[in-house]
Amino acid sequence: MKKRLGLVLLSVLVMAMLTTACSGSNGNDSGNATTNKNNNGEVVRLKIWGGTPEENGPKQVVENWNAQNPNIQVEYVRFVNDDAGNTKLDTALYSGKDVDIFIGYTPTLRNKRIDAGVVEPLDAYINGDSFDLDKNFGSDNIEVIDDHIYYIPAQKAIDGILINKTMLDEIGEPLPSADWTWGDLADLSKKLTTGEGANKRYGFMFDYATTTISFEQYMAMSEVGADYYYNADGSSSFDQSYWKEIYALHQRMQNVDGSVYPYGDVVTAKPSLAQEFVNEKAAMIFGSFHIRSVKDLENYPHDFVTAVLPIPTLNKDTKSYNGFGMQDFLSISKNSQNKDAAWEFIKWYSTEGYSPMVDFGRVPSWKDYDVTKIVEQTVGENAHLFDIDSMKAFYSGNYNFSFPKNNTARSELDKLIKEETEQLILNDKSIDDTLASLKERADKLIGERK
Amino acid sequence: MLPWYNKNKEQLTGYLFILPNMLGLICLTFIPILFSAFLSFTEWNFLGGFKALKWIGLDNYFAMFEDPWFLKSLRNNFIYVAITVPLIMLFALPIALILNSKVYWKNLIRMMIFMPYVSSAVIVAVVWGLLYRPSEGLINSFLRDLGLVNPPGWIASTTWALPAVIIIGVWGLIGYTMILYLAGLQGIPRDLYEAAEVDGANSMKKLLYITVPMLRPTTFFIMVTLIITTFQVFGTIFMLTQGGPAGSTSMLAYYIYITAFNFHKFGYSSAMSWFLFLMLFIVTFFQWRQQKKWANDF
Repeated sequence: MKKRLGLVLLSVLVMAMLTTACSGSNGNDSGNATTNKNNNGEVVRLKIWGGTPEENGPKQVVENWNAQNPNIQVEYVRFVNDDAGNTKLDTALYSGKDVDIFIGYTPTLRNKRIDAGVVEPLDAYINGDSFDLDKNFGSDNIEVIDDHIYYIPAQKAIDGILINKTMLDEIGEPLPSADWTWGDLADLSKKLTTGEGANKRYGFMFDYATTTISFEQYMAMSEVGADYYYNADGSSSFDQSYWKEIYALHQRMQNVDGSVYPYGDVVTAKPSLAQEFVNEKAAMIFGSFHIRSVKDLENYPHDFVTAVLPIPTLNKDTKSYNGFGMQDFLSISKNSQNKDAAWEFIKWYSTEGYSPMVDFGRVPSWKDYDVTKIVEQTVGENAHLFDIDSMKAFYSGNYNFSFPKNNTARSELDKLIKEETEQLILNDKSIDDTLASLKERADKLIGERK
Repeated sequence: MLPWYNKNKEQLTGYLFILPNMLGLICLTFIPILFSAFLSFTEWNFLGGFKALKWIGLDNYFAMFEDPWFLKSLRNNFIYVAITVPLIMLFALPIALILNSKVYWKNLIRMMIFMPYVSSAVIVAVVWGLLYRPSEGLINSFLRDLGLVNPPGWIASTTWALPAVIIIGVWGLIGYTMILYLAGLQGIPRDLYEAAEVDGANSMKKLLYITVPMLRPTTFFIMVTLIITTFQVFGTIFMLTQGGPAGSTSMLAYYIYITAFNFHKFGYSSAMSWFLFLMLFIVTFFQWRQQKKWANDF
């Protein structure tokens, strides 16, 4: 008897310990939205979820709006735009709590949310208001998903590379033209790499640690657009020649030239790209959004001049893509109790309301926003530390953006490509073996999802 | 003998006393556990709501053994536990013995060793990340000063990442184990030692024939809890390596999390959780049986 009791107690103990570690997944009560109903002049309260740190613009946006609209008071809730933060947002959306408007950043996640039916279609609001999408954003930039429009993009995210122009002048190299290739970048990176050991300066740095999209994926996107994982027949694309070019280039930069900030150092110590850039440890960094840090002399003191170029292409003579393009997807939660008020806010924020965000390096998608003003606002007081010509060209350039259309097993493929790339970079697995194993495993993953 | 209704009343009072706690346990633990058992037989993306739920029977349980990521995580997990648990016990017992005798700065040392156990996993991961940095990290700088030309890449190397994670695991749990051993040492009656001294036993003999056997229940308890805890290692993996590089530190708890929240396969993820539970249950059950046998020998 006693023995049995002991066994029962033991199993409870094991269970309790087990659940503390891996549960939390199942405890969703589907509650109702808690926001107030709009009844005769009562103040409507909206909760907006976004990933930008509050002090980098959203706070000012909220203040501006609240001052102009005493009847609709908004509150900004920041979620960190990583796996954990997006999980938090997903959980809030699904349980229908405390979200009226949310700002999405990753197209795959956005599509997942649309599939799940937690996103309100905006067509009725757009037509009801005769809000002219073509005039405001360009109709190519508004994505229609299953015959509906689910979001308004507030930001035009042009993928770019920040370059330390002063270093470029020191080695007597001109600034490359905007139609440069990844090969040009690799050559330049090699020339910019100097020093040894603790004094080593790398030509180029990519954030392998925290970005959800790898270096390979960005290069592939520049060549074929956002559906870089898939062939036309739906199978995986790792038998295409562009992957071979991409891996050869990355392998050369990382393991032969040693001109990229080492993979191992980035994933272990997770150094900040902007920090390494202003410390002159990296001459070029990936990510034009780092401008918002570089212009902040208080936290990132430096005295060199920064130029910006759009991301290169793989081959000069083929059509190239700049990335997902339109960003900051403004959507209304299906469970919001104040959808009309939420639409009013979205309309304002995606046009004139976006101004405070521009101060922090974000580019408005609104066509009526003047390029000179964007550059002025972006560089702020430190115009002498930026190469203004390259910036103007960067913001006014004509880019092909690309929306992902096929998302079969995309999260799994992201994990797979990271794993195989690590084998290649860290263990010198050959490119052919890597691609063969990628092709086989990717096809299997795609097959399981079909 | 009380009349039956009085006895019942007394029972009712008792049940009422434990009710608040039981309610919490039922709502937050038992119901989710049962729900996850149900989910393990389904295919479900939780973003799709209940209408997306599909009953697929035992398929999830079969799929596991054809999933290279699962098998790799399982293998890593076994290696992790098999090395971490003995190492922790090997370090914790001598420390406890030393701290149990008269030493200077006893409280301070005890606190320092216990500290990692109560530190936030986030901070621990950041600090170890800096220490393990291959090129300029503290550990490798030190090794280079010692004359090592090619120090290991630690968590940036597929061979060294698992040992690196094991080191963190051992470091983090020594304090807790040491406290348990200290408590166990306090429970050994002094007169046993005195009797042994009268018989002329030296300190080595006292350790081997009194301390170690008397600590058996403590050791057993420590082993069971350590195996359960280390099998579920998650914080370090999630914060520091994300299962990488190339899957070399992927563990079950982490892969279960990824499957649920990145791949949105809740059914499959629940099935793996139940597999983990059953595995731990069986391991613990046999340990329990073994313990009974030892107790009889004694």
